[in-house]
Amino acid sequence: MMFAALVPTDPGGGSDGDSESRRRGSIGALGMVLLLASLSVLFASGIALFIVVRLADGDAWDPLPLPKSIWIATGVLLASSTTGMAAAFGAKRGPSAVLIGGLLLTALLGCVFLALQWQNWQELYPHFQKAEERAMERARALAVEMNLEPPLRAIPRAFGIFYMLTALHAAHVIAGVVPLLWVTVRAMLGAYRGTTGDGVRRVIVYWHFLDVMWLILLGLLAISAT
Amino acid sequence: MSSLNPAAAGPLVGAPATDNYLTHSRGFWSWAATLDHKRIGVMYLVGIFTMFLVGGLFAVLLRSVLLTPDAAAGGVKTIVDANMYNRFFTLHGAVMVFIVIIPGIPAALGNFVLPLMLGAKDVAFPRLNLCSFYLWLIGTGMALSSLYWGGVDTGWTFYTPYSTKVGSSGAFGGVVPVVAGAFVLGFSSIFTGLNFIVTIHKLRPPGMTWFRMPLFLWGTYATAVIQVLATPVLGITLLLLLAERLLGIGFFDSELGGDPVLFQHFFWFYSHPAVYIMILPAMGVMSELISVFSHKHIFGYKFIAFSSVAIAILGFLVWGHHMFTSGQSELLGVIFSAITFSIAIPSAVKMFNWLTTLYKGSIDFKAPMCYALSFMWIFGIGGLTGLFLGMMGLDQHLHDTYFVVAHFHYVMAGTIFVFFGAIHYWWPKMTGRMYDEGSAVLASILMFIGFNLTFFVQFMMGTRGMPRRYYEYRPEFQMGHVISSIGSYVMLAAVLLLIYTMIRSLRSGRPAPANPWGAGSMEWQCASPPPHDNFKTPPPVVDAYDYESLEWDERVGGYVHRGRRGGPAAAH
Amino acid sequence: MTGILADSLGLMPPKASTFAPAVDFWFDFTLWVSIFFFVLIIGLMLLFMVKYRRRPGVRAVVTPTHSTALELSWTVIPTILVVIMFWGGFKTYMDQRVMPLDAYEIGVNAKQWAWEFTYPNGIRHPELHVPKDVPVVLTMYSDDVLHSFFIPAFRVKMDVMRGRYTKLWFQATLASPPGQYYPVLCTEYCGTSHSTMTTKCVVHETRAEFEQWLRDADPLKKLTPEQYDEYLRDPSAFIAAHPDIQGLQSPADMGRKLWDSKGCKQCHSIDGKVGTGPSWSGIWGQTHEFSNAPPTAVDENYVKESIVNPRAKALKGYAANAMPTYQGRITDREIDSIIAFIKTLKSGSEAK
Repeated sequence: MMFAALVPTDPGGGSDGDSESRRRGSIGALGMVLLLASLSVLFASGIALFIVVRLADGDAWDPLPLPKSIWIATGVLLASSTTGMAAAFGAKRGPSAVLIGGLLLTALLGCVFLALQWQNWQELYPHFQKAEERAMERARALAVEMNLEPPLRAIPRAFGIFYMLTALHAAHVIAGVVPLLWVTVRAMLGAYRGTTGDGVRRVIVYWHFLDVMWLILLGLLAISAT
Repeated sequence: MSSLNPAAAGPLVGAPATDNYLTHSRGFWSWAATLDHKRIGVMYLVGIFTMFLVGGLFAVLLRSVLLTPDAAAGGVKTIVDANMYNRFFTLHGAVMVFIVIIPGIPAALGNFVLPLMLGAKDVAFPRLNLCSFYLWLIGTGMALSSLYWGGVDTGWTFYTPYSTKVGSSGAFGGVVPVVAGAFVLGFSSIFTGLNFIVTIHKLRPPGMTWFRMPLFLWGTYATAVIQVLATPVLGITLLLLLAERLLGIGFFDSELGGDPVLFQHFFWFYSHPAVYIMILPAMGVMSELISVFSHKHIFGYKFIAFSSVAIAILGFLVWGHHMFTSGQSELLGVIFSAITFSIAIPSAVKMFNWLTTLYKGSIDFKAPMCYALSFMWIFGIGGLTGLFLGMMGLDQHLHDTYFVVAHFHYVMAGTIFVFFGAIHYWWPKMTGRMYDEGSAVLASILMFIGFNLTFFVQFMMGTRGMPRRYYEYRPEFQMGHVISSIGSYVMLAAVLLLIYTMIRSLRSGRPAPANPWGAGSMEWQCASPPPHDNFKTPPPVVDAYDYESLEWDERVGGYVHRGRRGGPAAAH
Repeated sequence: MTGILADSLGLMPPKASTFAPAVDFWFDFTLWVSIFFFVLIIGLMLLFMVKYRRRPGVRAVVTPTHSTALELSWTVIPTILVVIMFWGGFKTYMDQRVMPLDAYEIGVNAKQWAWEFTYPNGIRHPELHVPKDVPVVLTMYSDDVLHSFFIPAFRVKMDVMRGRYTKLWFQATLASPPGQYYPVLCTEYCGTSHSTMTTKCVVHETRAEFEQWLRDADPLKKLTPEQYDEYLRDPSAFIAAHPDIQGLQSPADMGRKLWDSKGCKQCHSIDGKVGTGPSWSGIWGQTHEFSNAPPTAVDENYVKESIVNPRAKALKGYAANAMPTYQGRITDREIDSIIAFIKTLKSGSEAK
């Protein structure tokens, strides 16, 4: 959504079209770099929290049975990055079939990934409920020992953080599908003719970023489960 | 109005004399949907100043409550009970920090000035800029809506487990909207920072090298880096807080295996750099004001520029000094204390450079300069008292007392002085009108007296052991509290006088020349107010601090470049 | 090492602990440095403001815009000074944070919005009393939100939180004058009555005086025999009728605290788990069999005997010598409280 806002200002001046578009491209590219830097900090702080909590919990960590389809989802996301690369490659030659097809496929695979994630969340939910009961028991026992009111709800932290981080990632995937569709429509309407396709490339760079973030998250979740 | 302004109407600017950004288009949507950085800046300024008044009224109310030690002694305490008091100090803090000071100088004045100063037509991403403004508006609305939900009484720091378990009434309470509002305001701040970094990197006209940029831009640049890289951590922290409050995920709640100190680490990782988000732009403005009103080249340009960058980097590494008594490990405390002291050096370097700039200058006590000189005094005290708090052994005594309250007001509210100075300084450029120096200077002097009256005595109360956020206190402190409250009334009078001055200027102020102060930076080369697209052609880049070629021109009522009077600019 | 300036200006509260002189000294040191730099900067600023004020026809003098020597000097000199300050702060902090080994230990419990102090003899009291010249370690715990324990006169402060014990120590050097006290404050915002979460710290001149206070602090000791009977008949009515007697609770509550503080809980669970000794859960009224005595029902006399003379009856299935005698370490009225507490422990009631 913010990509629409990342449209650079018209710097004006009488510069000719080619150097002008290169100039605008470099403005957008820097904006993208900063956006990704900011998002990296966002994910990094989430991951830092994950590591702190995981280390602090030690053996008390609830086993987190990662659903099988999470690996399928990962495959889908990786595939979407490849189609994205193809689209970015195609963008160099204007509104080609490679560009439009690549973009459409990428957006579609993004949606499939989201659907699979939804499926994963549901699959994990019964485990989550069981773990919540256990967590609630622990909290109640502690409350008795401390002579205090027990808490209203006790979400096991392993699950809490799994849902939080994957939801954070999914929100950013949604925020990537929207501009993907936007550039697809623009490409279909014949935009990017005779341009370097910077707009497309920026969206794809963002897409790769999501891919990398997902691999890091998944790696952490997989390691911590054992 | 700028037709009275021959210098500005010269071919250098090239804009039609009657057309400026205020008159370029009309109607509600021409403002609400504008992409013009100047209009966005003005909208920010109006919004932020309004919120400053709201936060300020909370403060005056707080000070009135504190006139008497307890309800038995009468006074306002018979009307305002402890719960209301707690809600008011929370909102005072949250409004002033997240809504007023953090966006204050960068978003309001930075937006207006930065592209002009750079010689650019706009910021790099005008739509993102407007988006930032609306996020600010939404965040502010959300934060204020907490009043409807029963208020929020956690203090602006939202410390857990108070904010996740107790706080205001009900599971929702006022905590959720305020925290969500701060989250949205964070996005606004990130987008502004991102925009400014790209603008400074990419939209500098030919000849505007990094070391020719006015120091305000260096300050804003350093700020923007912090905004982009620190604010996401606040985002995560607030999300966790909401998840914990609404869903019961136990990150911070020890009953569920969490750790309340973890929240403090996350919170201060953003909120300490946020102090530098507040102070760095103010320091940038200071460098402009001190140099312009001494009519003298800034001293030690590179040291000032690099000290901004140094402060921005070190600012990321000192958050733990808020936690010397929190139960974090002693080793961590030692490291944080050491880095905290190192950050004192670049701040001192700036002070000495400003001082040396004054030496042998031609000091003109216009209102902006009065605010700037006040800041030297105020930041001097604010910075030096930081040394006491950075010493771990002393902090054991001073932490969370009025000493801390006074210290951060001397630093953070010190930036309000610069904010006011900057408003006066760029007022003629923004509105095309001069203001009345007499009443503006009087307001600045009142403000200075009121401020010191309010906060200096709080240092002494703090060392005697007066804790912060206290509704009732022991009678031995009443004298101090009364002095402090009187000071706040003086400040209130000063702000009212300031508003009066500004309204009078809008109604009947003398039309402003292009360059009323004799400043060298580029925003003073276009007309006041500037035309819609700032510069038709990028203006020639000159040394922003070279005043030798600037001369007072009686006919214009402002300064002009020597040899440029009524004619084309001299080549530079 | 004291703070001459802080003293003469009356900036600091009385110096009543061993930390105070060092803290005040470094406060003074920093204050002198600050005053020096403030006077230097503001003095020069005022001088320049007068000397170089704008006058008609006088332009600013062009001076060098840069001087490496100047920049270096005002970088290096403050650096040296802050290194000294860091060292001072570090040294004082380490003294404050390294707990002495053979200190007198007092437990601190914070809750919205009151302090409670647990002394080694199990007495809980809302006021902090300490002997002069004895190192005291406070082990602190919060029942709810964050609090922070602060005694200005001792220059000590530490956050108190739930889920983790925090510690703080001091050695008082100045007895509080009769009838006076040092304020104990909460400095971490904790809700509505945060500002009234204060209490008194009384420093006794001698250890003996302190011990005397401690013996007298047992609220049950303050009761006359008639009052005590009245209290036993209906504790809650008695507590309501005598708000002046602080620290009174129902016998069962008091018994629970004694179980917690006197070491009973080391061996006797209240949830049915078998420990070194039998669990108290559901024990009341059960018939116990002994290796050296005829079976007896668990009643008042049996409990009392087990406390003051635990070896009189050796319960089958448990080590005979495991329990030490509490003779002389517990009052009759405290035994009554423990009995009242055991009576409330129905079988399995605490297990869930």
